[in-house]
Parts: sequence; C-alpha cells; structure tokens
Amino acid sequence: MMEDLSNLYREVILEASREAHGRTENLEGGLVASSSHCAYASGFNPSCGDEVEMKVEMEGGDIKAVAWKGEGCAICTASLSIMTDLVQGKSRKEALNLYEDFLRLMDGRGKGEAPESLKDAAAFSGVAKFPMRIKCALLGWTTLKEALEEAGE
Amino acid sequence: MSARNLFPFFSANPELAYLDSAATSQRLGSVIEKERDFSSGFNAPIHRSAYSLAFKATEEFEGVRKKTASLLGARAEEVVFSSSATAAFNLLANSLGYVEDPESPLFIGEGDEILLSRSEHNSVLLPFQELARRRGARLKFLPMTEEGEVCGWKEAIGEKTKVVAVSRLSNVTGAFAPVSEISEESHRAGAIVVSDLCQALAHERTDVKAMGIDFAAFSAHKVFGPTGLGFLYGRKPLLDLLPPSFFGGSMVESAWEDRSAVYKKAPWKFEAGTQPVSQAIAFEPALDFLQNRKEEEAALTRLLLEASSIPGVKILGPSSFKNRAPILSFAVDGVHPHDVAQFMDANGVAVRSGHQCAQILHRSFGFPSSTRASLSVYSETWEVDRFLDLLSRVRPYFLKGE
Repeated sequence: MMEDLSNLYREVILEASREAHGRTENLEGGLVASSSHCAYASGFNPSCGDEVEMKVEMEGGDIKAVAWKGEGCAICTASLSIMTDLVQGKSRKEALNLYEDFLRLMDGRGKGEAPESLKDAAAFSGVAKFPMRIKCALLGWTTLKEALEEAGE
Repeated sequence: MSARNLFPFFSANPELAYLDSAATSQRLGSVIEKERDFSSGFNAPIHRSAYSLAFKATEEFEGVRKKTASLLGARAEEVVFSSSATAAFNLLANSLGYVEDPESPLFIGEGDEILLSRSEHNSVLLPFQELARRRGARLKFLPMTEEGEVCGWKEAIGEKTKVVAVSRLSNVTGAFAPVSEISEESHRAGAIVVSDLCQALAHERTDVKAMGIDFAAFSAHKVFGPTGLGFLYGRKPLLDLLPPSFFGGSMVESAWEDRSAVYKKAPWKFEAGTQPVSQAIAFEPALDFLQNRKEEEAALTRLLLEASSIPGVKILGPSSFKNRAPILSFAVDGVHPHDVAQFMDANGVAVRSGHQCAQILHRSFGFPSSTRASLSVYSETWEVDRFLDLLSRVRPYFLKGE
C-alpha cells in the first residue's frame, strides 16, 4: 500500500513542502522592485480550513515575484512552492496558461501526461488519482489566477 | 462472541482498521435485514390507512418511538422523529423562534442570552446562532479548560440566560460534560437545557431525566442504525408549549380556508410529511442492542491515549481516561491532518481529518484542524496497535531530512 502513497507524495513534492518557496510571515514588506504594483488574493478550502493569502508583484505585465502566507498540507504547500518558482518572470498570459495546464492535469483530461511547461509541477500527476486531494493542489493556483485577474483590470 | 461479528461491514473489509465511528458507525446486520424485511414484506403508509398492513407498519413505527424513549429514560410522547440530528436541532431552534408569548418559558427575546459550550458541533451552533440573530438575543460561550473541558458555568449562567446548550460528549475531545450539574444551575436561572447526544449514546446510556435535559437530539447512523433518521427529545410540558415550524400532511387535525389549522398534539405536530419510515423501522434492532450493551471500552480508551506519549503528538482533549470516551483528536507537529490521514489510509487505517464541524473549538485550541481516531463497540486491540504504530511513523515520513 505504501506504493500508492509514494505516487502521491513524490520526493520532489515532499521536498518542496519542506522548502515552501514564497512563504512569508508578512505580506506587506519585501517588495522586489520599487516600480512594481501588487495584486492580492486569498483562497480558502472549507473542508480542511486551509487558507492562503497571496501577493503577486507585477512589473510591465510580468510577474516579478509571488509571496504567500498560510498553512496547508504537504500537497498544498508543495504546490504553492513549485508554482511560485514556475511563474516567476512569466507574463500574465503565460502564467494563466500554466494555470490551465495544471487544471487539466488535475482533471486527468491529460491522462496523467503533463505538458513540459509544468516542469516540477508535473509531479502532481499522481494527485489526480486522489480526488480528495485535488483541491489541496489547486488552492495556490486558483488563488494566483484570482490575483492575476485582478492585476489584469 | 465479539460484537464485531454482528456487523457485516467487517466481513467485507477484514483488513481495515475503521477508526471513524464518531463520524458514522457501522450498521448492525439485524438493522440491514430489518430494513429489507420492511421494504420487501410490509411496506405501507403509516398513520393514515385502515388496512391491516398499514396498521402493522404504524405499530412498528410507533414501537420504535417507544423503544427510543425507553433508551433515553423518557416517555414515548416526548420523542419526535426527524431526518437527522441536524434536522432535529433546526426544528427545535426554528420552533423556539415561533414562540410569541413573552410569558412562555420558551420565549427568547431582545437581549436574552443563549449560552453554548465551545465544543458544540455546527449542527447545534448554527441553528442557535441564527435564532439569536433573528430574535435579537446574544450568543455566548462557556469557557473551557486547556484540555477542552466545559467549565465556569456557575459564573456564566445568569438572569438573561434562556438556553444552555452543552453536548454530553464532544465529537472532538472525547470528554463527557457534567450535564447534570449544568442543568441544575440552568434550571435555577430559569433556562432550558439542550444537549447533543449524538456521540454520547454510542458510549453510554444517557438518561435525559436523570441529567435534567429539556431537549436533546441524536441520529441513528452514529449508533449502528441507518442514515436519514434522527430524533428530538423534549420534556413533555415544554414540547407541548413548543409550536411547530414545519407544516404539512399528518401533523394537522383540521385545516380550513378562513382560519388557522388545528394541529395535532406533540410529538405528532412536529412530524409533517412522510417520515423516514424504512429507516425508523430498521432502527429497532439497534435500539435493542443499545439497551442491552455492556460498557467495555475502558481498556481500549487507555490504549488509544498512549498516542499522547508519541513525540510531536498533541492531544486536543483530556489526557486522563476518566470521564472519557475512545474519541481522540490530535495534532502532529509539522504534519497537516490531511497528510496524517492519507498516510494512515495508505496503510489500512481510516481516520477523520479536518475541523470536524467544530471550528470554534479548534480555534480555541489554536489549531485550524486535527486528525481524529474514534472507536466503538466493535473496535479491537489490533486496530489501535496499528494506528499507534503508524502515528509514530508519520513525522519521520514527512519530515525526513529535518
């Protein structure tokens, strides 16, 4: 039965959950570029009470940095961490495309085949087989999408 | 003979350690058979037709009301059928909101207080929160000890207190609340006492009269019966005073075009529409089982509590096994409850993770959620042993390299 589990908690996921790139205690400080503007969004998973607050720093239509605050399970935290790395330097449009790619991976519509664009986030293909955990992997991404939509206005 | 043999679920799942009985218990084989017998053999409408089959169905249905009353130490007219404990608490709170006479002991008005324990399930909290909001009353909470036990009721109950709601057994902490003492204090102040018995009845035979409970509710699926069935108990004089808040067939004596209908007496005035008849009749063998069961959970409760000595495990509830049922919620330092539960699931142990419909309690403990292992009459030592072994391996699995 442990085999099942290692398909879900792949090494890259466990590592990312421990490293938690982008996690901060204070969303107010720490701007990377002085000329940038920031978009904020928050996400909530009512079944477990997990919450994430996110700040996306934009400059000239590109994502300079993502910072987030919150507690979540290993899947949720790892997904946020890998996403933070993945979207840095991407345009708003590119990041939204990555969101769509990730969503397709979770829906299983890609039959577990992750597009190359997702890089480390491809490790979450195993999550699609655990329907209860899909929303954990998605929390960060849906919050990012909300922030980007706000930034796009 | 082990009680486990009476539950077909375990023949179908011999390898599984089912430690989520506080969420839903497994069903007695006799319950499953009774539902099939009714559905295939004597299904007929109750309370309305004159043929013998309908009479038999009615007799069986009302027989369950009597047996339920007997289990609670109450009278049959004090037991109302409902579709769940949640529905029963909504019925109670909504009906309290219909009380118009300011002199009624059930009247809740502007500035009155509704006092709840911090461990109330959302199914108690939310109906009463809505009631308070609609009536301009204040919702207040009893303090709790560090281990999550209700305390401070003497100071908290006052002149303005109209309702005191304390569940007999918390679905999170596993602690029995001193409901008798709380009732005494509440009645002295003229407040009514509401107690959620959903968890308690799986572990003790709660006597509502001895405990001074005015209103109580429970659901059948937590005590070896089917889903879709719950009960409201109400002390007779109060149940008589409580107006119905759900209207329709079967609860009315006469209906008119130009004046208000005349409703039946309690408890029937609260039973509008077709009741969960199959479920009610199927529940009968479970009531016999509950009536005759012997409490033998102390050893397993003690074993379960060994979890507290595992490094990084913090118990949300009393550390002593006294006044405690085998319901254990805990936090694992550095590992989210979802991951704990997933790890357990992959190794053949079913436990609950989340806020367990008790967000206020979890916030009071300082954790957004927890993992819970809960046992019942059919639980066995090997299940707890496996759980404890896995629990000791959770942190090494997720936190390796730290």
